[in-house]
Amino acid sequence: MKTKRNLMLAASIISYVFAALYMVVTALYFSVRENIYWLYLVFSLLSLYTGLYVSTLRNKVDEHGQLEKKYFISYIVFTVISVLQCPACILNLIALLYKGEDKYLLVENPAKAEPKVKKEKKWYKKSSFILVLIGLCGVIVSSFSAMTFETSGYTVQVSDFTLDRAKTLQYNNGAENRLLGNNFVIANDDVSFAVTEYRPKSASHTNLLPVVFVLPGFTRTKATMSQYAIELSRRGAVVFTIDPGSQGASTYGGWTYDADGNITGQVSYNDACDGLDYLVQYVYNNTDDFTYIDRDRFGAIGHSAGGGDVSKLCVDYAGSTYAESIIKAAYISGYIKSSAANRFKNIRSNLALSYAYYDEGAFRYQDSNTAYEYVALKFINDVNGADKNSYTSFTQDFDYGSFVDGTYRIIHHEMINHCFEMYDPVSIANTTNFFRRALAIDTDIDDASQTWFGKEASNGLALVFAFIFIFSLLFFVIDFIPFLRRSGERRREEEQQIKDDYKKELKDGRLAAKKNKTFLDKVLFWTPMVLTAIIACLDYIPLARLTMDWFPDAAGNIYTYYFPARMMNAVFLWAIFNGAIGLILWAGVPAIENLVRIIYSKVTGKENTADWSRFKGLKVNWRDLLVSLGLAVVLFFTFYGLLQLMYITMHQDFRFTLISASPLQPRFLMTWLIYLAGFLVFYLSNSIRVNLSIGREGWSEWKVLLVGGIANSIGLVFILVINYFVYFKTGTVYYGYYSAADTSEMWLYVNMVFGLIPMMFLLPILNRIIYRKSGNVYLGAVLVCMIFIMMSLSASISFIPM
Amino acid sequence: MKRHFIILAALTILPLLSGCGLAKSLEEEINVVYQYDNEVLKTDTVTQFKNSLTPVLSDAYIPVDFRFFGWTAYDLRTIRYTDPDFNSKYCDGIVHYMDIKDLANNSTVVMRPLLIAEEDIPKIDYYCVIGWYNKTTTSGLDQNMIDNWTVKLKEYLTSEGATQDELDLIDIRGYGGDVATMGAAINKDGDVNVLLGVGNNITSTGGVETVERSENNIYMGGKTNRVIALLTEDEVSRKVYEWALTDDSLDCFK
Repeated sequence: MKTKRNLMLAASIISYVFAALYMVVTALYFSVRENIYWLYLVFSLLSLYTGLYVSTLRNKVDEHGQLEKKYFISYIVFTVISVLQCPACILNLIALLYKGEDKYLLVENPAKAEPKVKKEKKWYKKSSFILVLIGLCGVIVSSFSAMTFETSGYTVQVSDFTLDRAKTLQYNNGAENRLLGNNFVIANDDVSFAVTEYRPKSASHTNLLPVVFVLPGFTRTKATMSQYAIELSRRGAVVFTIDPGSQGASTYGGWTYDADGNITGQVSYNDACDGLDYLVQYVYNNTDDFTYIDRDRFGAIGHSAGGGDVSKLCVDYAGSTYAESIIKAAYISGYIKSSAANRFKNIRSNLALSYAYYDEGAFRYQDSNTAYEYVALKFINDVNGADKNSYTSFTQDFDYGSFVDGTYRIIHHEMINHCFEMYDPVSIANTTNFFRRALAIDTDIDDASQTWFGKEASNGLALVFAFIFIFSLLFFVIDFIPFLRRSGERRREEEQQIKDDYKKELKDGRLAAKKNKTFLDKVLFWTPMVLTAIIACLDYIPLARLTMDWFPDAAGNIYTYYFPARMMNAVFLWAIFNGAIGLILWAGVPAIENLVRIIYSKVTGKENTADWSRFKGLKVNWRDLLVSLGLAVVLFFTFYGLLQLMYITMHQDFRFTLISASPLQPRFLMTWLIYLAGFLVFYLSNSIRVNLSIGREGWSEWKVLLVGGIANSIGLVFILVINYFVYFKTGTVYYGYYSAADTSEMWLYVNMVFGLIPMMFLLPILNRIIYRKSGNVYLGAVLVCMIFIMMSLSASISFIPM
Repeated sequence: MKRHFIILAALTILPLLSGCGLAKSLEEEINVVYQYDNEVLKTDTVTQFKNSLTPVLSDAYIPVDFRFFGWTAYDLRTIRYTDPDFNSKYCDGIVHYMDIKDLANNSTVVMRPLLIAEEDIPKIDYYCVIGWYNKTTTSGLDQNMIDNWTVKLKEYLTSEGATQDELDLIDIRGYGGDVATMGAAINKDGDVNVLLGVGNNITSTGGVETVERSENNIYMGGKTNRVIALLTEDEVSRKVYEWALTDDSLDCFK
């Protein structure tokens, strides 16, 4: 029995738990601007240090279960401090007063058998090769499954086309093609829009089907709206989804030219409803290709900024009556800006308005003429002219008006937030219900019957399998590169030695205290960890605001080669800043510590105990470095090559909701090159911290991975804690406007954090696994950086003029 | 190792679940009763995420020589127009959760119309009221620029013969939010003479009528296509507007 030591272990664990809880309370008080949060921050740190101290003392308990006398007073002090963690205090008191003699059982280590010389497995029997095959098969099977869901069991044909100037010149130009007085012709050859068509196979010139156009919101791609396309097409509608300008695979030249080809200016970002105007006219007028569509049943849906564009589309294609209007039904989702509300009176279509109950952007619309309640009322009153109806209140999910004359209106308020509204089954059911009735879609499929999540889950699995494939392939290749393999083996042996030293608690019948960490060691390890997490939490929004000053063109939606990814710029600055801080603390703290040790040894004449071993891990020769970089580049293109293959053969990419890897586009490759070097600071910093700091603590591997993952993502988690605690308490997000004096909108930057957290959690784990295999900190950092940054950029917006 | 990962997964999911529960428990519903004397005109509910539209009070309910400001849950006898926090004591158009949460009794709030006698409303006769679009990312203007500009404006007006008393009655107001929000606030105030830093959509989207406006090419704090607008036609306003378009004034915005 080791009663005293067990009590102390339990007490220290409880202290850690309380440290975490106090940190949460700190964040909550901070979020509501109560200065008492400082007190809880102190409580949190005291709890952490108490836990660290008690766990350190635990190693000073001798084989009789007695604590050395010189530590007695300090244990009493920390027991008193542990009043802040009541249960820990009780356990510490019991441990303090416990006089019983712990009985140790001395176990002789049996003589170690000669280590078995592992027989080298044949290459096809190696686990890495087997995993490569599993990953590859997994990707293919998952993509096939996703394709089955996307095509609704092969009853829908899914295909892509690019809408360019030539197409609009042919079908949108000239008096004969004018549509309600409009000729929407793309301005120049550099501008094009990527479109995906979902065509039910039942569609034919004798069975004309209705059409629904689908537009995503700001920064999103058409693939994020595939759920609408799947559900509508399987019910019998032809669906077109489109990437808005500068998003996804759509290109935007950005420039206008005169007759001589000289640049005369920039194409406006919000040109022609982000491509929808062009597309609608093209599809309507193109009777050569689209022989199977019913031109009297056109509908459109857009989410967020896409919702605003759809409201404008309705006005652009509104006739003087419903019968004359091209767009017969429109679903405006997640968009209630006045600019859209002011258009209601000019629309001659059946309409649905949906706004998420927990929409984080609602804080902007709280005035008596902008609030959701006001806009909803305006929505049912401004029918065929301003204030034609005189409702003074409205009911959710209630049918107003009639489908027959385009006066139908319905309002939804789904219990979801803004960025997940398009993944909400209720929202999707509302959409299919609306279009089913408004466009008279002939279907007997219930609105609640949805299959889109089959595709989403399959694509998510494909993403997981693609990672398994690429990292197993890396391991497999490393086994064939002798110097990389040896380097990895050396590192593993080195780390195993450290672990073995810590694990030896009993040695010749006495505790081996020499190698145990001191309290100061632990403080010097954990304090920078907590500090970096706090900084990472607090600096994201100020840095996001700074992007508006440092990258004004991108922030103002102006085309530029100077860091053109408007939203990613925030993550970019955050990554550089926090990466640099991580590196400084990683190198600075031990450097100062060693300096003190050197001075101490010089002054006292004692042995110099400075330990520079952690810096050795940075060493790498040029050959290793170049091979690693080459390997990373090859694997990056292998990953995207596999993705491209899946897209070409099955029209599938790798994604799960907000996290996605999309096919490579030249414009995103260029954007990626602009950002890569800067982001590498963060990825390198992370690899160094997890491998040359956390990994050298002598912990078991699962603990290294867990602490690494938490340390890298906890700061971002706290951004959400702060933001949403205030939101649920007051109805206004913490990070809404930047400040009372500066009304720059920050809430969209917080939305990005949802997608960042899983990637930030995964990053150190991948860095660690690759390091253990390759033995250098650079390979994992470079490879993961290349893949993750391309994933993040291609899922966002880039104002690069390409 | 596997066992640890299962524990890790459970630990990851737990806070998410408890977070959702916490979020839901934080949502509080308040019943709102709109009442004129003892007559209930409307009942509604308000939460952090759901506002209430106030009922329109017909003229029949408003006594002659009284002005209707909105609906209040405060004791009517305690409200004076001259109170510094007068504007925060009533709701006009929309009732938010934060407006009434501290006034709820058993999760119910009774709102009554706030009617103030015209004779109790003192008039401030400003020399000039200047509004600016306080959304730096759109207008390019910030408080520093406006402070410098105000100093120069006062120097100019002094040179034109304005007295210190008159200069003290110059009011500079920043209006935030989107264009419609800003426009609504300006129209509600109704006394702004000159407007700085807005866009050309100040009438179409903002709903603010202008007497005259500059060309849409003014550069302010890195933002192009900004506009200076004259909202009222009188001697002082025009003088300020015309000076605002001079280089002396526009230099403050570079």
